[in-house]
Amino acid sequence: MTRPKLDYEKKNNVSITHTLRGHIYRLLGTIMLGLTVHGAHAAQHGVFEPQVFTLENGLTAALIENHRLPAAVHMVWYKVGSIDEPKGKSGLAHFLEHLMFKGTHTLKEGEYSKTVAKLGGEDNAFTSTDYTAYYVKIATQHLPTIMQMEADRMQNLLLSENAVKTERQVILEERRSVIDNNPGRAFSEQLNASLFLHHPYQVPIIGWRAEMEGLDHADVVNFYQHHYAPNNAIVVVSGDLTLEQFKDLVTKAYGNIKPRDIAHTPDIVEPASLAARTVTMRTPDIQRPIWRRAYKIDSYAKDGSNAKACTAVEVLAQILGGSDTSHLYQELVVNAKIANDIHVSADIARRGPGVFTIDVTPIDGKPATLEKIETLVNASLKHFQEKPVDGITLQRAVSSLQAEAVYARDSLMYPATIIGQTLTTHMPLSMIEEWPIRLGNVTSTDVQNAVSQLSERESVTGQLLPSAHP
Amino acid sequence: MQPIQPITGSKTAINAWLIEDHHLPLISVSFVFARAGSASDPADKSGQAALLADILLEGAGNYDSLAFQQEMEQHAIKIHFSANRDTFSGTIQTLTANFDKAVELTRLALTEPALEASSLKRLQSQQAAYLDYIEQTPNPKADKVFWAQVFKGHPYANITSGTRNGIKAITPKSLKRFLYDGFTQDVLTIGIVGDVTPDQASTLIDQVFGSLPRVSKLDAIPAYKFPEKCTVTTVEQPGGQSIAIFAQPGLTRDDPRYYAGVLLNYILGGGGFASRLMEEVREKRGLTYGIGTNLATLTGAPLLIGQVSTKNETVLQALDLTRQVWKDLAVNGVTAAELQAAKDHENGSFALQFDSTSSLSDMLALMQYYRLSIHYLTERTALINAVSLQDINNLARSMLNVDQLQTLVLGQPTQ
Repeated sequence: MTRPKLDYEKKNNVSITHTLRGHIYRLLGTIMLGLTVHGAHAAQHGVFEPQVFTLENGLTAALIENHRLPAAVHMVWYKVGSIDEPKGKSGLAHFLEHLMFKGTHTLKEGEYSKTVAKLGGEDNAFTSTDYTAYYVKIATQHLPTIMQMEADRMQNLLLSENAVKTERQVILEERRSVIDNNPGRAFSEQLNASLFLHHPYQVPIIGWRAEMEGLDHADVVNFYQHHYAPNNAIVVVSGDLTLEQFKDLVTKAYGNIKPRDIAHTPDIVEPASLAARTVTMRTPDIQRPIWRRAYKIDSYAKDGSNAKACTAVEVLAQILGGSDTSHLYQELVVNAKIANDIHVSADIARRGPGVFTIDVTPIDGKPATLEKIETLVNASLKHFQEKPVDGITLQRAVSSLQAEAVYARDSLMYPATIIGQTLTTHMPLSMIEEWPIRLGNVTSTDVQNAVSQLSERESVTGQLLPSAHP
Repeated sequence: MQPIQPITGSKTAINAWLIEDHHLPLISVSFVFARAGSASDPADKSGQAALLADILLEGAGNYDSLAFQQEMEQHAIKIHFSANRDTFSGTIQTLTANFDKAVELTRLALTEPALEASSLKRLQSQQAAYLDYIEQTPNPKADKVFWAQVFKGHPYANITSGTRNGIKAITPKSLKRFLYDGFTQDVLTIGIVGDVTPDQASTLIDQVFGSLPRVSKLDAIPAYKFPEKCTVTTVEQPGGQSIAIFAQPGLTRDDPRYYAGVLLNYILGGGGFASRLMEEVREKRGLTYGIGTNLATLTGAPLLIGQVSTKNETVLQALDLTRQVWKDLAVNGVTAAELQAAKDHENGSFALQFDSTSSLSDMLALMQYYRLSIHYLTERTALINAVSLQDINNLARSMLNVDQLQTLVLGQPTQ
């Protein structure tokens, strides 16, 4: 479009969401072309139909075929994220992600990205609480070059003291841009730190400033050596090649890399909370207040045993706040006229506990307005817990989520992302492949049970307000 | 990729471009109304085009607001309207099975919108809240302040979301008037991609757009006279970081030097880590998380525009470096290797953006808006390759001019 884009290339994003609905919703692919909207037929096959195999050195590889363009997305996922950082070293996983672009014994500083650019590709990377991923979108013919460079930096990263020092300034600038200079994001950081009593999810991915300032060369190298290895990595490719071609390329590029001992982080058990919390942040820079309620909930379990309940939670999020027809939009925005917008999300595709969030943009920051919002949100939840949702509403929510599965296939990036995320968080692929079927099986009783999962004492209610009341 | 077919309505003379693609059971339709963007908002109703984009989906025909939205959700039809400064555009995505319903809802939205007072009031409140959000968020605020400063007196001065007073002044009547004046066949371009036949596409064109008035009553967007001398304006903003936006005149889309401009911008600041600005300001010195430039082909003011954010103590240094890079390119030009790398990137990456149905239908509508050849998708490589080292360096010399840079700094810059 003609409007100047001012958001340029911001390499190395800190990824902060990983909802199964939020991802799956957009990322989750397809399927069931018959089922979808007035669904008549059950699915005969899976959503993305990824073809997965493992090399002798422990590297897992997955291919999603897509022959529409002579192009592919190549992703390397490492099963390491911010929750794997040693205590006192917050921001280290994300810092290393930046430094992975600084060169190897054979690749000069910055040469990785320059090579990709010259080949017409787009590259970037992101760090999450649970994983770190590097991706390139490029013409299929250049995949061998990309794989060779990825394999190289998986084992041969070479960092100068100076590169570490310069890049540390960059991540501090990034923190300034993304969090410190953005009251909404700073509020999210505060609320999140309060939601988790003990689990490392309480620590921001980008890191706390004081600890970021102390990250040094030895920290990075040590972290790299204990987490970056074929036996801790997953290669996902979505694009125009066959399984035979893919197997051949992957084996040649990655097959000879030696496995390493991985420093596995023990699963931290988040203790049950006994007290609901409130967080109130006041800042002079705010004109638009925020009201937010976040609940800790169960996430998709590793063995898939929790899939049914989690799917119902996703349907609940859609019914409560997935669109302008949703219950909370109609109650708070259209009828009561005390909010400008609402948003509900279920962040449950993760290694640790999940989070269910209800976000409201109040019409003003008056205490009476915020009180009324809280009352209405509580009443809405009670309503769905006590009264089964009507069949038409349930069916509309399910239909629209199932259709997202078709739309998500219309891309190279989304399917690769969702499969990579699933494999790195140790979820069985059936969580993805059977998602539309599970959606179709959600009953109004399941939705009632999903509401019951939202426990008050596992919640934080937050308000972001202007310093002075109007 | 299948070739583009030019098609015409079966009962009207409205044209569209079509690519048939039966890989997935999806259809995407994109359209552009030239001139019907925020630059054509009535002077006292700034923000009207943006509000129109939302209110068209708030009920139409026999559907009230809720019923219309429920129809969309039930049938998984995605209708997205948006306004920018120059145009009003839309993208409609549907599953093949719900094509007829998608056509019906789009036709109703464009020709029989309810424009109800209650919806209007709610959307006015939402849009005003968005202006508040911009005030408290440095990046969009810097953008807003830049346009207000540099384009004072020109229709581009306001952001698309408008002003508080402008939003308040919008009425159902003024919206209706804008629809009638701006949504017309003579400024309309359409792109259709997906699981659809030429016959179905022709019928769609008639049904959705056939009843629109023929001729736009909106004035052409006036050309902006760019200041001759450079200026640096500082607007105080608390917080540790400053954001700078800088621009100078760019190239119109039909300028014969346009492709040299694309490559020059790539080398200057458009190419991410391959650009000179990123190299100097981020990679060598760690002064910023992001810096970049863009060649913006606005009708009334083609621009070469860029942005950088960095802490208050280093923003003046970052701007100094930017001017040095700018000047050096003007004086010494680019190297043959840089030009080749830029060409390789442009030629390799261009097709990669079309991996979704809607990105391709958007492109077809835009190609016609810009009056490009129907063979553009295949000819573009030749157009890029035709740029010689002399072409690009002539352009760098004649175009890049630090003495004309208009710079806005939002923050508290210190030496």
